[in-house]
Amino acid sequence: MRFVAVGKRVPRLDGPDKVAGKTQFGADIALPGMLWGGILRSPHAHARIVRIRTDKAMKMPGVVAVITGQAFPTSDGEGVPVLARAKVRYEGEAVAAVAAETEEQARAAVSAIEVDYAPLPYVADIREATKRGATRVHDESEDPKHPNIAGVAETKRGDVEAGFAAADRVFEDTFETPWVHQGFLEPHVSLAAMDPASGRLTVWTSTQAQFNQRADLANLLRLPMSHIRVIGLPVGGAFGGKNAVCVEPIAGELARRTGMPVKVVVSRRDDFFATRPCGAAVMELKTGVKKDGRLVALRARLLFDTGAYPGAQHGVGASLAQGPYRVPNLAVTSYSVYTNRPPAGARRALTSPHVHFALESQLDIIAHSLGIDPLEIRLRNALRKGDPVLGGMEMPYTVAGKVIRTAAERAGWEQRPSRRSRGRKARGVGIAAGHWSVWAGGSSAWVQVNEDGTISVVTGAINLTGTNTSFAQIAAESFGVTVERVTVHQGDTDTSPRNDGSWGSRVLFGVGEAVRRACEDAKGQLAEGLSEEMGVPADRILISEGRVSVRGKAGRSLTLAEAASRAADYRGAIIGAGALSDLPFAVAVAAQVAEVEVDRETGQVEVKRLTCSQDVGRAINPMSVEGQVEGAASQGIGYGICEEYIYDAEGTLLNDNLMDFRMPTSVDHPEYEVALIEEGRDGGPFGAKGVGEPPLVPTAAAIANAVYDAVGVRVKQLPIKPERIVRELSRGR
Amino acid sequence: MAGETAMRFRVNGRDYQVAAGPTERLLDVLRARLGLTGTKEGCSTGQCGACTVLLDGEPGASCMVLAADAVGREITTIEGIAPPGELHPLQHAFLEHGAVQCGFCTPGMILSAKALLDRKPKPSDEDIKRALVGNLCRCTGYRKILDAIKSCAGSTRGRSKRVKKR
Ligand code: FES
Ligand code: FES
Repeated sequence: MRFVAVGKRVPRLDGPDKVAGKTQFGADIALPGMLWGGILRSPHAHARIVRIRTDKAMKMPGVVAVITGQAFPTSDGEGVPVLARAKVRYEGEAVAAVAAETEEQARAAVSAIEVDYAPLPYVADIREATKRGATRVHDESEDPKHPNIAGVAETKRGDVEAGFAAADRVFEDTFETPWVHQGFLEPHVSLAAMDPASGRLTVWTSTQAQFNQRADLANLLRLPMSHIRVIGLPVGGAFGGKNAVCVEPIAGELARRTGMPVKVVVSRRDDFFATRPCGAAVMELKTGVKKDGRLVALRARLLFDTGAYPGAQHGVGASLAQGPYRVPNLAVTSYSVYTNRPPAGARRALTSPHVHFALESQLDIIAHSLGIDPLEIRLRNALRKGDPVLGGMEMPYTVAGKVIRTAAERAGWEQRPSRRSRGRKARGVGIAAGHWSVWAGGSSAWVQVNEDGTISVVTGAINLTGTNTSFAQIAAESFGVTVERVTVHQGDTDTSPRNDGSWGSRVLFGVGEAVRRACEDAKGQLAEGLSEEMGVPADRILISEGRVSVRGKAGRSLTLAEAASRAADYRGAIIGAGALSDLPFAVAVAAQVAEVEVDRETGQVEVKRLTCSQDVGRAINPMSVEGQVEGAASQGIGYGICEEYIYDAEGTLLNDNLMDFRMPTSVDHPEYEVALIEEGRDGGPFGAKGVGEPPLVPTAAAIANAVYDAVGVRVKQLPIKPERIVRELSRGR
Repeated sequence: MAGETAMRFRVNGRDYQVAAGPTERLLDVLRARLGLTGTKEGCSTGQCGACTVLLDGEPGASCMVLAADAVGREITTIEGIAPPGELHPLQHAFLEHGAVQCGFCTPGMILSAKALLDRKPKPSDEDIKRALVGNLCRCTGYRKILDAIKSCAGSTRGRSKRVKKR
C-alpha cells in the first residue's frame, strides 16, 4: 500500500509551542483571586491519628480554609482516602490541607497544623507482611493465616506437575525488584474553581485520564458528574504516575469551601510518596525444560508490594509471566500484598517489566546450564500463532521469533566477542525479550470536514506521546490529503467525546482506530450529501487523494473543499463519529540486546549499546515510535542499574529527591539501535498497535544477562548495584 | 511579600524593574513576576535542570539563584533566544529530530545546549553529553536530543529561522 501520510516522520504538532516555551503546563496557569493549597503529610509509616488541631493554622495570615479527613467521607475506587481518617498507613500520606493567599502562607499554615500521632508497628517488607502474625496494614476481615493479602490472581494451563515429571531439568530461582518512581519531570499540579452561580466545578489538571478523573471527583466530592468539568492539561511526563486521582479532590474541595480558585502544586519530595509509585516484587519461579531447552512447565509465585492500598496490578503479572514463549503447562499465582508503603500504582507496562526480569534471567540461567545459546533457547520457545497467551487467549500471529532474531542480528550477536576478557573492564552481551497486551478500551473521536476541505479531529484522549500527531496522519491518510490539512484538538470532558485514560499503550491503537472510523463515517456523509447532485448512488462516490469522484467515471471530480461545502448545504455539517471498545486485543513483542561494560574493581555497570526490536504492526510515525522505544529503554536502564526507593529502619524514605533516586542522565545513555517490525496486524488503524510500554519490558533482564556474560555474576535483584557485583566477584576470587 | 525591594533585571535584552522579596528566587521573578513561564520548575533543588536559564551566557538553575544575585546580570530565557515568530536553530533541530516529547525539560535543555554551542561551536559527542548532565529528560532517552544538538554544531550563532506554519 502506498501511503500519503502514514509512515512519515512527522514532527510533533505541539512541538513548536514546546520548544518556544509557550506550552502552558499546570504550574503556568494562574486565575484571578487564586489561592494556594498546601498539604500536610504523615511523617510516620503507620500511626493512629489521636488528634488534629487546626485552630492555630486557621488563624495564620492569609489562611482561608483548613480541611482534614472529615471533608471526604468517601474514598476513591480503591479505598484510598483523600485525607487520612483515624490512621495513617504510609509515610507521606496526606492528613490535612489548607488554602491561603500565597504559597508561602500555605506552607506556613501547613506547619502550624498540630497532629498527635500514636505510632504503630509497621510492616515494610513483602515477605514479612505475609507471615503469620505480621502487622496488619488494614484491620478488616482477612484470612488470619495469610495477613495483608490484598488480592490474588491465577493463571493455569495444562498439568504443571506432569510437566515437571516430564522435564529433563528443573530450575528454581527467586528474583526481586525494587520500588521505583515513574520519574516524570513535571510534578503533579491541579487547579480548581467553582462557579457560584451554577455550582459547577472546573478542574484543570496534569492527568492521563480526564474522564476517569471526572467520575472519581463526582464520587469523592459528592457532586453530580454533570457539575464537574475536567480539563486535562499538557502533561510534563506521566508514565502511569498520573493515572489515578492525586491532589484534584483537595483542590476541588478547597475551591468549593472558599469560593475561590485554588491551585495545588505537589513538591518534588511529596511526589515521591503521592503518585502511586511502582511497587517492589518477589518472584519465585520453578521451570521445567527438556534437554534441548524447550519449556515444559512453569510454576510461579509472585508477590507484588501494593503498599497501603490496592493498585499493584498483580493480575497483569500473572497473565504475562510466561513471557513471549509457549509454555504448555503453567501455574502462576500472583498476590498483591499490603505493606506500610505508598499505595502502588502503574508504571510504564505495569508489572510486565518485573515478571520479564525474572523469567528472562532464568531463561539465561537455563541456557547457560544446558549449554544452549541464549538466543537459540528463546527462538526455540518463541510464541507462534495460535499458542495460548494471556491466560485464555490465542496468540494472533507468528512474529515473536522474528522480533528476537532481528534484535540479535542487528546487534551482531553471532560476532559478539568471546566472553569474559581478563582486564579490569569486561564487556558482555545479553539478550532478553518481552511481551505486552494492548487493549483498546473506551475510545472515541469526532471528525469534521470543513468547507475549505480541511479536517478537524477532536478526541478526549490525553496527548502524552504525540498521539495527536499520529491522529493527524491517520485522518490525512483516510482522506488522502497531507497532514497540514488536518488539525487535532484535545477537548476536555465538556467539549469532547469520552475516552478512557492514556494508559496501557492503548491510545494509538484504540483512539487511533476511532479516528479512522470517524473519518470513514464523515466520508460516508459526504458521499450521501453529494449523491443526488452527482446523480449516482452514494456507494459509487469515491473519496481519495483529496478528491471526490465517481467510481468508474473518469474526469468528473470535485476537490474536497468543493465537495464539503456542497454536502454541508444538504446536511448542515459533515461530522463523523467513531466510538469503540471492542477491538481484538493485540500482542506487542519486543526484544533487546544489551552490551555492557563492567568495571571489576568498582562493580560499575555501563550500558554501551542497546539494540531494540519490536513488532509495532504499523509505524504510523516512525520518528515518534523510535522516541517511545528509546525513552522506554532508557527508563529500563534506570530500572536495571540505578533506580530504587531506599528506606531506613524507621520506614523513612531516604532518597526522596532526584539526585539520590538516580535516573539516567545524558552521560548514561547508550548507543541505541531501533528496528521496527511491522507485521503483527490487528484491528488498529492501518495495523498499528501500542508501542510505548513494551520496550521497557526486556531492558533490565538484557542488562543483567549481559553482566553475567561479562563477569559471570548472576544478579537476581534489581537494581544491579555495584556493591553486589564487587561482593560476588571477590567471593569468586 | 514582606521586605520587598525594587530590583532591576535585564532579561532577554530588556530592562525590568520588579519588587522582589529577600528570599525570592530568580525562578519566581521570571515566572510569577514577569510571566516568563517557559522556564519550568521540576524539583526546586537544583537537580533536574528544567529551570535552566543563561546568566551572562552561562547555564544555571534559576531555582538556586536568589533574585538579588541576578541583578546586573544578562539573563536569557527560552523566550529570548529567537525573535518573536522565529525559532532558534536549536529549537528547530529539536523539533525536526523528535527531541521533544512532553516538552517539560525542553527549554532547559535548549538553553544548556545554546551555552555550549556559543562557547564551543563544534563540540564533540562527549562535550554535548557533559553539557547536558544537569538536565534530566525522562521521555526521550537523550539520543534524539544529542542528535538535534549535533546537527546544529558549527551553525547556530546568531541565526534563526522562521517558524514553519503547520
Ligand atoms: S527546578 Fe531548578 S533544577 Fe529542578
Ligand atoms: S521530553 Fe519529557 S522530560 Fe524531556
